[in-house]
Amino acid sequence: MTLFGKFIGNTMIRVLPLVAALAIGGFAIQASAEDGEADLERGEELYSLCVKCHKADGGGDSAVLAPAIAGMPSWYVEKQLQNFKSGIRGLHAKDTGGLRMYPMSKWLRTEADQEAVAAYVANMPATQPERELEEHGDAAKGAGYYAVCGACHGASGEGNEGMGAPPLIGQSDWYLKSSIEKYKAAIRGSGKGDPFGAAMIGMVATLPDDNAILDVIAHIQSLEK
Amino acid sequence: MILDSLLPAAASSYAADIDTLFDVITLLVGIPFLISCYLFFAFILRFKAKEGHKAMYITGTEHKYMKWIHRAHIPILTFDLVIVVMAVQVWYDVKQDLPEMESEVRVIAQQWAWTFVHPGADNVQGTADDITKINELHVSIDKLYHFKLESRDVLHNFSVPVFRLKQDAVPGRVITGWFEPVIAGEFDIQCAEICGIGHGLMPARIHISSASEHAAWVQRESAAALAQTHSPFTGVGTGPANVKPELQLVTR
Ligand code: HEC
Ligand code: HEC
Ligand SMILES: [Cu+2]
Repeated sequence: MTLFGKFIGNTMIRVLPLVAALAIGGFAIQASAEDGEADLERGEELYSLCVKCHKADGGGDSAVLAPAIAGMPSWYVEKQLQNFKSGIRGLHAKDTGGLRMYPMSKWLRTEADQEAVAAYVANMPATQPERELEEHGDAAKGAGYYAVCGACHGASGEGNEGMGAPPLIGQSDWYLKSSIEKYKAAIRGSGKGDPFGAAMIGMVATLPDDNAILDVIAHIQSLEK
Repeated sequence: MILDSLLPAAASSYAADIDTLFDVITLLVGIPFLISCYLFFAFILRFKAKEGHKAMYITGTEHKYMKWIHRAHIPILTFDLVIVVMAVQVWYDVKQDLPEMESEVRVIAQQWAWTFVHPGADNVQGTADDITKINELHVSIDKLYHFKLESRDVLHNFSVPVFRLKQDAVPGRVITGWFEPVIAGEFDIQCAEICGIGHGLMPARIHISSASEHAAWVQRESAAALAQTHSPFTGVGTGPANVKPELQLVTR
């Protein structure tokens, strides 16, 4: 009676190579588009995978916890895509947003793809995300706290590649808040092999309470004008 | 058995029962299916149109024709009964009966990952030495586990093909079930309920090891879990109190 099982098994064995050949053919066509540095066309094609959450303009969507990414420097986007893919970022049981982004990063199978989509994202015009937080801090107090942050993120929040610190201006307020809270709770930055994230965990310790978080966000927003 | 070459390993105490049921259903449905196919095509060929031969019109209401339907009905109904009785037995064992547990794991599904909370060295859930792993479930062979299945957002389905186990995770409910691994190895866990754009990207693995290997793993990991609660960076634990509303779920 195992004959019956074997029969179906054998049919599969005959059909599978055909399926595989078709798939490989498909990949070969895709791969030819990957030549050359940071292929923007390929980047645009890949970005269609991101639109569902980060939106067509790259402005993000708080309802799905996706931050604004349009115009972020390509080195940072690429680094984060690598971090997600390798599980350094996002793989924490309490990181709701991170656990959503983690599988998405696996769509980008090659470094060339990560590079291409990062270049495309960096090329998108920055959006001006709406203010979504209901509570607002005191920008003047926040300036005091920001003195620490400026060392890496830049006095006007423009970011600093040398320090690995992303720009903070042009980012959604809710995402700044949730990121700072996640660093505080070691939900982000505690992954193995994430020295930059670990550094941020140390830095947010200079913000003593929730009000301080709102204050520093208010200051960052004041830098945007 | 019949379908062995098509199925993954049978790694839970009840997997063999379910496979037997597969076999019984395959036979009881497959044989009548083949017979009817044979008759169907044989009659088409045997009674095809012939020169100078007029077709006969049969209403099929007379006893001499009806009896061929009745004769087939009886075995089919009997087979159905056999299948129902056997299926109810297996269903009762797997889903309704809850044997005494030796250990308990929490399984938390969310878009798009599985969180598994294993009890630490104390074998008690909800204590500081609990071992939380993402996309990795570690269990010991020959130990009876209860699982407490939760979803943090939408419907998911906890599917462990080698256990022949599938259970929907329903947001707002904690669903209890059980399994007992019977062979060691590393196997797939899948989500078997479409749960959004990342549904196909939420695979996890189950690691079934010998009792001693599993105990060693628990010792090591629960010690690490205890150490982590006192994070050198912040002194802040990762307890639920730290999760602010913004981090909690909003779904579409
Ligand atoms: C299912 C929704 C979803 C999709 C699709 C998605 N993302 Fe994300 N992404 C998120 C979420 C949620 C976060 C926030 C993670 C966090 O809070 O740490 C994020 C974060 C990021 C970040 C980090 C931003 C920062 O400031 O650190 C980058 C970069 C990013 N995504 C790029 C992409 C790219 C490129 C794609 C397409 C290949 C993509 N994402 C597709 C949900 C998504
Ligand atoms: C030692 C340099 C350094 C200092 C000082 C620093 N940061 Fe950072 N910050 C970083 C780095 C590096 C990252 C990227 C970390 C990563 O990869 O997760 C980062 C990331 C962030 C992010 C997440 C941005 C995003 O797009 O995901 C926020 C928010 C942030 N920092 C806020 C602050 C605030 C507020 C302060 C001051 C209290 C501060 N940082 C001080 C280096 C620093
Ligand atoms: Cu799912």
